[in-house]
Amino acid sequence: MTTSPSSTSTSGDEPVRALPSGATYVEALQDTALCFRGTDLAGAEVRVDALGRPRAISGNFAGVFSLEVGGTRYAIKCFTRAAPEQAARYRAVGEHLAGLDDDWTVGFDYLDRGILVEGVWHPVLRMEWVEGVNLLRWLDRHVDDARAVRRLAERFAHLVDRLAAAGVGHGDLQHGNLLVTADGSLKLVDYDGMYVPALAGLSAPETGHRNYQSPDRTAADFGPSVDRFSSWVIYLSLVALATEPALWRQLRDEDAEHLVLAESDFADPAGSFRLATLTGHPDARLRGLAERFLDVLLHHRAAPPPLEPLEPLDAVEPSGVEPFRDAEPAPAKSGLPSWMVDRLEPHRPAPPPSARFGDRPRALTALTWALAVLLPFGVPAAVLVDEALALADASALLAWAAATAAGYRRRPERAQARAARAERKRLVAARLAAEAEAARLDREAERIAAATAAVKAEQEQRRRALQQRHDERLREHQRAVKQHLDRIDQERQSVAARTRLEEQRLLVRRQKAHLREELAKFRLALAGVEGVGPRQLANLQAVGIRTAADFVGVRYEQDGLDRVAIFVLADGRNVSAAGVGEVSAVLIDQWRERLTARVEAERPTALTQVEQRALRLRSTEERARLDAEHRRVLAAAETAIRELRATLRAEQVALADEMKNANTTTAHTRVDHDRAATEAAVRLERAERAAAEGVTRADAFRPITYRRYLRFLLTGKN
Amino acid sequence: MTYAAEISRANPSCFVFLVDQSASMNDPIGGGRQRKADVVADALNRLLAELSVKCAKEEGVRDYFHVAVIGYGHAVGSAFTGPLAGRDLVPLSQVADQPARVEKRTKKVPDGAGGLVETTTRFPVWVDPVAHGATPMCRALATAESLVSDWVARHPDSFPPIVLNLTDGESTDGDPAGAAWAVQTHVTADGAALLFNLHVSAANTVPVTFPDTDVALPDTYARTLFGMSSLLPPHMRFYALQQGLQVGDLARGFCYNADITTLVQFLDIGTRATDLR
Repeated sequence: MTTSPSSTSTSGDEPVRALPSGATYVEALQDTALCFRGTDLAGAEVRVDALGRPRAISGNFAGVFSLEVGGTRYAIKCFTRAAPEQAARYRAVGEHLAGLDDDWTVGFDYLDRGILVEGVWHPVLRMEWVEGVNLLRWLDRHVDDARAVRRLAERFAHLVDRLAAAGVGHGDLQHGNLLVTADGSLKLVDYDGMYVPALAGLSAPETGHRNYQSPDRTAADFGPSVDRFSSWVIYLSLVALATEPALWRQLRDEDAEHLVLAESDFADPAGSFRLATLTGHPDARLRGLAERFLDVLLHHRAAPPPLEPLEPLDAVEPSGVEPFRDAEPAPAKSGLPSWMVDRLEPHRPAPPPSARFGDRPRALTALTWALAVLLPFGVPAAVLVDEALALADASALLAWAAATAAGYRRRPERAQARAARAERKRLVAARLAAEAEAARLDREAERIAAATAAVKAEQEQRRRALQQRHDERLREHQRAVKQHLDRIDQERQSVAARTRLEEQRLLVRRQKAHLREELAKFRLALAGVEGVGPRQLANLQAVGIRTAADFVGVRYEQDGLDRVAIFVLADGRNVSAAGVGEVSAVLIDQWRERLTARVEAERPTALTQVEQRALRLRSTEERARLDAEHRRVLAAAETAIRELRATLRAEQVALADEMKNANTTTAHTRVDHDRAATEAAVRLERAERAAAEGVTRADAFRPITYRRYLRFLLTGKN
Repeated sequence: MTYAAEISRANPSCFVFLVDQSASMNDPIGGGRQRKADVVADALNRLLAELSVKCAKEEGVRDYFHVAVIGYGHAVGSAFTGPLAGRDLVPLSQVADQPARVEKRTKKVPDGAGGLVETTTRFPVWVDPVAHGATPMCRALATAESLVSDWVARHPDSFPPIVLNLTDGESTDGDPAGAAWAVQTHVTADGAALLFNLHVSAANTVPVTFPDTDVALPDTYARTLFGMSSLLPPHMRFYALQQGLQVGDLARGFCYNADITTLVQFLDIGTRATDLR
């Protein structure tokens, strides 16, 4: 982990200055008086894009701008990635190229103090401006002009030769660095990775375009032979296109950044459809060259031999080809793009003239004539003259038939016809096989599409199910938590209720005690209740009644004719006192009730402080216990939710991994299938054309039959 | 081998930028005075210009990439303004040709002789700053997922899509982790779609760039973003090392508490595809 750095350095030993980006150069170049202040380029006019901003041609390591000053146009290369010993390399390259008398070179100056960007000077490469198009665009325009392509292949082979003679390795030979000028000559640009003898011992600053380099190419490969592999790639491609322009469309996607061959062909030659197409091509010279390249690829990949150009390159001239017109797109027939024209009107060689029988064998001709003349006499002779004559006649006929049949079989025309017919059969069978394969791949495409859709639906469903399961678990958990919290709430309420009840209970008890205490202060003896004398008092005392507190009520029981007063004591016992009749008892009870009313009017209405404190303490404790439980439940709930989410995430990650793996398999299947389908389509197209040509060739031998041979013997006419 | 596919017009790749447009993007960025929304919009416009230049060839800008900029705030949708408004994945050549406008910006730059001089540059603008609403990151990621899923179906052999999420706050529409992983389940034959996350800070704190563990991250939110981010593929790690950053083998495409420098660096490294020729 790191914080933002303020400076830039590379991992290498050499400190490398940070270079502006492409867009930063574009900004700086909007004021050439400033960015080139004090140099020859000050005030130069830069070629701009539709937005009026300097127009870049970007590469991997630099952007190139076109600008004009003093009537001269230059290409200015601004570097976006630092390269080690750049200035020294360019100096060495410049010196070496200056000594050459080759037309592929483009003049340049390396200017250390080249361009001022945000106050800092950076180097630029000032180059001669070359009006030309790169090889890909050139081929897009001229691929149908086989003669022009062939001439370019020859020029390229010559260029390779010149490079080798000069001891120069370009380092990144590829379509973007090969410009074709208006007169059809080749210019090499971009000398960033160029080797010249003075640079021996250094390593390559770049390893070249992936679609042109050996899989074994490393930065250590830096020398005069560095371009050998890419030379083979380019030359073979050009020869292939000169031989059969349709390969341009058949073997590459439109806009693909390669010629006929690409990285995947070098990495897996055995599995390469493109290589197989070239090494199996009907044209023997192309086939031979392709086989040689395959041999290089299989056995000399790390150290390829020098290019072995075909000499001279006089491939079959396809008929009906437009003459090469320089720097101008070949006009498409009937306004259609060239590839479509190609598709609609496949180029086919004119049908060969019908085959004919050559010289007439004299002996057989004479024999045939003799038979033809004599045979009409045979039957009447056999009937009229002699059976033996008929026999001889028949024998002669048989001998003639055998002789002519043998003669026909010996005819070279017949062997050619047979070969052509066998070839037609083979080619038609191949076309049918290719059709079947294409159809099979079509069906497979449907199957893959259905399987992909099914996988997608299943993944969607599983994702939803996962979320649902999580939501359900969450809901369930939340329900449980809520129940728990509700119970705690209920308990809280019941604690409050209990406290209130307890308070009342204590209050009642206190009031009762108070009542008893107060009533005890009133002695019956002193009450002066009417009719209660010392005897009754003594009797009452004897059963425990002395004060107003000693009994709580009186009831009366019938005893014969009398009603007996029964006192209910404070402890609940029922007693009766001798000599205390109903009247006295009523009066006594009224005395007690009067007193009770009086005392109750002053009864305590609250608990004592001690009682209150005890009560409060108890309820606080209970509440605190419940609060703690409440908090505990909430905390546990949070943890549980976190855990649930963690579970969900873990499940999501696991599912995502699973889905990723399944989708990877699908992607590979689809890519493999798409490739197979594209190849099958091309194969079918080629098989169709080959079969059609085979049919045409075989058709030319239609006159070569035994019957026509007999006619030929008789008449000499084909 | 993964993350090594050739990027070409015949086999292009794509970028999906997710831009947080929530109300908090109005706050100034940590260590600066500019609003976060302005800084992010500026960085994106610069990046789009940079990508256009990087893919410019003789005949014009090549469609090596298709680019979507999805804003999320009061709504989730294309953040392009001008002629590209409302569009999601746009081929780079069209992006390059159709900015909303080209602003003339005047600034003072060193003249190389110790002084300052005023100069005017043309600055194309595709995305305007917006800061309004909540942070519906899950929906933004779901949008990215559908773009990515569609892309890999159409280009099964391409360099995998790269999604860069620029945010300043927590998701307001749920846990974004699931949606984030879902993005990364879509694969081409060259590897899984990449999701990189950058958190823009309002606080003036030390940014955390491309960490390879979440132990030093300050909170669960940061750890969530870390867990949502893909590992940096080797070529990006190598490039980051070249830029002088200390990145481990398990470095994630994730920055926390980013300032302006970190933001620009994050975009530079995160959009570094395999070599373009």
